[in-house]
Amino acid sequence: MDTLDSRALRYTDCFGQRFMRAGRFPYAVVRTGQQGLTDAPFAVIVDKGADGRPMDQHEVTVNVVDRRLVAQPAELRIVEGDMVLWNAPEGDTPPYAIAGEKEFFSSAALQNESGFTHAFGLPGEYEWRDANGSGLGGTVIVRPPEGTDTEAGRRRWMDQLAEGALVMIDGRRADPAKLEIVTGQTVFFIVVKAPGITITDVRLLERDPTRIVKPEPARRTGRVVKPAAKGRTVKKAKKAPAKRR
Amino acid sequence: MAEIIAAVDEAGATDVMHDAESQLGTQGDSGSSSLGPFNASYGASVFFSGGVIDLRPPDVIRVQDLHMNYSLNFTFSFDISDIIPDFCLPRVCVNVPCVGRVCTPRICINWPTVTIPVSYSDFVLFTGDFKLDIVLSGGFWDVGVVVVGIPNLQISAAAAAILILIGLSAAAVLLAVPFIGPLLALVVAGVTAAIAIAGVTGLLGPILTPFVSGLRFSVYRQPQNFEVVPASGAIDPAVRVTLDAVAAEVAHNGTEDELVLSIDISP
Repeated sequence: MDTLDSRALRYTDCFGQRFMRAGRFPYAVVRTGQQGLTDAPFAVIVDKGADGRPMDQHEVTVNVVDRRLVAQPAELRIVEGDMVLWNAPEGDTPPYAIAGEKEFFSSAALQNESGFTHAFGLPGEYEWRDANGSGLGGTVIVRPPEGTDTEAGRRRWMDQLAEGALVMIDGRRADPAKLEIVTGQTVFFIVVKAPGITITDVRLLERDPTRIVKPEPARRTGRVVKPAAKGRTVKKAKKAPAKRR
Repeated sequence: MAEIIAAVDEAGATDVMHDAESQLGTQGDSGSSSLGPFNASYGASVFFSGGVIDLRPPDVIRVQDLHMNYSLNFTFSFDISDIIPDFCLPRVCVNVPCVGRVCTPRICINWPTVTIPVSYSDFVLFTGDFKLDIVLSGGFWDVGVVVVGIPNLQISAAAAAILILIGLSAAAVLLAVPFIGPLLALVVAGVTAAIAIAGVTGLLGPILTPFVSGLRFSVYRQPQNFEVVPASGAIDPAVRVTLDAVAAEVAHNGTEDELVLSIDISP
């Protein structure tokens, strides 16, 4: 089954975030279901930029190193207004999420100037919904391409794959709410403004409705919070002050 | 001269063989093998039925049209990368209003290793020449017939059928692999071509011939020492005899061929 979920990024997915203000934005790459267990060892450093400068795009790859999810480069320096795109190139990378310290910066709670892309590998009707309960949703219909049993047909299909489809999400509205593509095509869900949403296949929600939980942002603890050993307690990390976008 | 001579004609020998087939029951084997880019594991079961005995002096017992009924369960596993080249989604870009051009990186699909299960049942008819094999084992004389050579199994039709079956099974399995759908025809053609080149016949032969080569039907089994007259009183004990030697041959008695057993006995 091919499913899409911005909380559980896989190698056919990308998460994008645009940084509109200068500053240092630490983040963690966390395995899905393990939010809150790690510190924020990676960072995007945003420098002041000139007004009217066109947006640049930067790419960060996510890999498994010593059984840990690692972002490369670990620190990325960009300029205000640029976009960073995360992708795991290896198919065996476990599902993960990008969790920034700042609340606006999370693949599991998409807010302003962010995005999620998914390449649809199997034909079918994919109904998606916001797992965080905003009521946002839509449908992607994936049809098999025609004529791929011939070389010319396969070439035509490859050309189609280079064409992305766009869904713009602004407030509580997704436009278009329904779109049709062929197998292998990529849909860009671009979030202009949203209250911290997910793009999640409804089949995943039906299968495990208890997992509709908004994850916490990564904490700046400087250490890994381990489970309590028998006979002693572990001090809780200091609660970060309320975040302001 | 032998003390006991027993003979059975071709019809009788055929009846004996049918009884032996029932006693032999279903034989099974399993194993694994490689077939081109594939790993194949299999389980095979075989039972024999039918057949007509043709006795040929001096020592050949020909079994004509013996049915070897077999059932095969194959599991082929292979890495799709061995069949079709690597496949990458191109860099995909969209123009986002008020933002600019956003592009995904080129994403290469990691083809998985897939497993294709195939079940196939059929029978082959074969004719084989057998020889007599008489052994004294564990106090029993056992007269059997053993396949002399490996008969030429006509399995090419089965191989063709299995090839079609593999194609259908591969299509069913591959449909669930993301991104493979549009390349399905290409992959299935690759799978069947690779198996055809490697030779299903070449795989079936080694799997099935061990069931036939050296196949032994026991046609006569008798304790070496046995009671011929039971005791009828304290002063009249049971009479027992010992079979000292058992020999067998195929003889022509003028009107028909017979399997003749010659037995030497002693009290």
